[in-house]
Amino acid sequence: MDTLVQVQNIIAATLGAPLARVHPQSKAADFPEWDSLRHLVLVIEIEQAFGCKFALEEIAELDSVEKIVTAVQQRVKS
Amino acid sequence: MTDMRVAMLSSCTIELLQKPFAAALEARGFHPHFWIGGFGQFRQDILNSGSSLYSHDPTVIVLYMDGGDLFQEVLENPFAFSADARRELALRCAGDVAALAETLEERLPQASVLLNTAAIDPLNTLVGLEYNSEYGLQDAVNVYNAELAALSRRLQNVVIVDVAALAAGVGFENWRDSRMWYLARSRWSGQALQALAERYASTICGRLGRIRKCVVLDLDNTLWGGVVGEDGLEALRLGEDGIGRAYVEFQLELLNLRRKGVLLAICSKNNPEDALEVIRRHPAMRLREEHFAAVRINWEDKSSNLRSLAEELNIGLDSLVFLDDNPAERSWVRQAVPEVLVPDWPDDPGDYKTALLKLSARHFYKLGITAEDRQRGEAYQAQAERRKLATSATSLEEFYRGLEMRLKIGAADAFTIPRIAQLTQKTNQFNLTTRRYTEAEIRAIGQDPNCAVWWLDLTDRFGPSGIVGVLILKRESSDAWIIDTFLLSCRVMGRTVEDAFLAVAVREVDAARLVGEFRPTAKNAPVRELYSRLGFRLLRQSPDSQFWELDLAAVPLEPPGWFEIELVPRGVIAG
Repeated sequence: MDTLVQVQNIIAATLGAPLARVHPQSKAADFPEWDSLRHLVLVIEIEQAFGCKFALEEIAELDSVEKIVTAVQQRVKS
Repeated sequence: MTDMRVAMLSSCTIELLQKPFAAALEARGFHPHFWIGGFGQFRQDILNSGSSLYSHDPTVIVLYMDGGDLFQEVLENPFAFSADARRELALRCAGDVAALAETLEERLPQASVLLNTAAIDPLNTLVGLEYNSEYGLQDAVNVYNAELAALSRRLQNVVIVDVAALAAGVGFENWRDSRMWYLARSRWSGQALQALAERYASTICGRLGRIRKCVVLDLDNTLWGGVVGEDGLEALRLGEDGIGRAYVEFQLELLNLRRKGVLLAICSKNNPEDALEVIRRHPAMRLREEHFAAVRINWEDKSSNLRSLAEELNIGLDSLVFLDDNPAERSWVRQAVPEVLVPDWPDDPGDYKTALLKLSARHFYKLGITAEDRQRGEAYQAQAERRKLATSATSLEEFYRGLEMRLKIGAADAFTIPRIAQLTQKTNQFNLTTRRYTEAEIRAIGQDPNCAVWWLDLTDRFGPSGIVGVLILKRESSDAWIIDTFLLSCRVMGRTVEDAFLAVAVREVDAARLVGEFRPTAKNAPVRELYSRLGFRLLRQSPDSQFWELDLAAVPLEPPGWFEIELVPRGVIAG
């Protein structure tokens, strides 16, 4: 499955939001459900799905679909 | 799905536990409704009687106190605490938790309070110094956990979940995720959250007694290495070394399961003699015949065997766990009997014990052992013995057939009259009327055309018994005959000989109606119900006799099929 599509699916599932609301330009600010704790749950889900681990400083910055996809692709490449 | 109201309070952030905990509860058939306490608010939430915790009315309260929070000061600077100070701190923390648990018991008497054992990261500043110096961290934790055990014994609503052991099992490095702590004050990694959710959910099931009750085991390559029917007993891998030892330790763990009140049963495709030989005689077997509450060793399909096992043990199919090394059998049973739990089973026998322990932690979670648990195995054993002795049609029939009984039935003649008279004088137990006759009287009755005197001779597998039965019939009316005398030597009681004897004699006199007389004595209680059993109905009774009647057109008498019967032709009665 395409990384973008997978990330969108995980975000939708974690937030409990319909997939239609999650598009490539979506960011945390667009979703009231996407609070700091839900963000951590999302990070854990992404890490489990792609077998990667983000650094402490990175985690707070992963606040949009685009940033998550980029970070995942960087990790999976290296 | 059972609704369940759950409350979660903690010394640290507990929100991240909700999602995996909900999933674990749903997988066990619960529909949870959560109430989550505010961060660091657990004391206030519990002590304030107006708190929304109480209006939520939970049946399960998780109060999670992390070791890192309880012992924060000591962890920061262990060198500032003497042994006494550490002990005091631990007791104070435990006392604090105890007071909270008591308040909860008072205000929510129906709720279970789940408290956790504390753990601290084994990688800390006192590595090397712990146990070798006056400084310590682990001793404080140990005092606290010991107090929790005492609390659990004192308060009925408290259940201790050994989170310290859980963390050790997962490995502290996998348990902690420092990023979660720094970002959200959450003490767990994703793996820890999963393990914790599962363990709490299993604890709740254990508390409610929602656990499985019986492990049904395959034999070949499950309880021992090899296939007894092909390899033979001596070639089986079961012993003190190597792979044989793996099976032994697996059996030892099953024995412990039995000691906790879980039943063990067998379901194996084998010749019963081969399989039972191993169970009875193999020196390395730890499980013997008496450890199994029920046994199905045959060539029939396992799903029907499991159904009949459940019925015999009088438990539901959803109380069974089936263990089999063969993936095809597992797959078949899962499909055919979906209520039975059929876990995946490891290929390597070296992993059997671990697999059983993991299964046990999930499906046989016990929080206490009752006297009934301890005795359950024996109770089933006794019942099984009783069933073997008790009347069951199939086994009795086999018994009768096995006796190879051959009956000769004939009319009285000069040759047999002495013995007939003797039996009427001697026989007391199987004697319906206890009429005593001399030889002369028998001769006279025999000569009467309206009477018939019959004798019965029995030979069986063990040899001849001679004449052991007498039947005297007297005509009462044109189609009715009355049973004047009906007796059997006590040697041949309990073998349905009487059924055959009466059926044959009655055919010979061509009766349509039969009247049976019963005269009770101190000794003939064994035949009190005989006429009733044969299908007669009571006509009339007085204090010293009963008259029973049988309409032979409606209830024909048939000799049972396990006798060989020879009718000896009527001889001439010498005058």
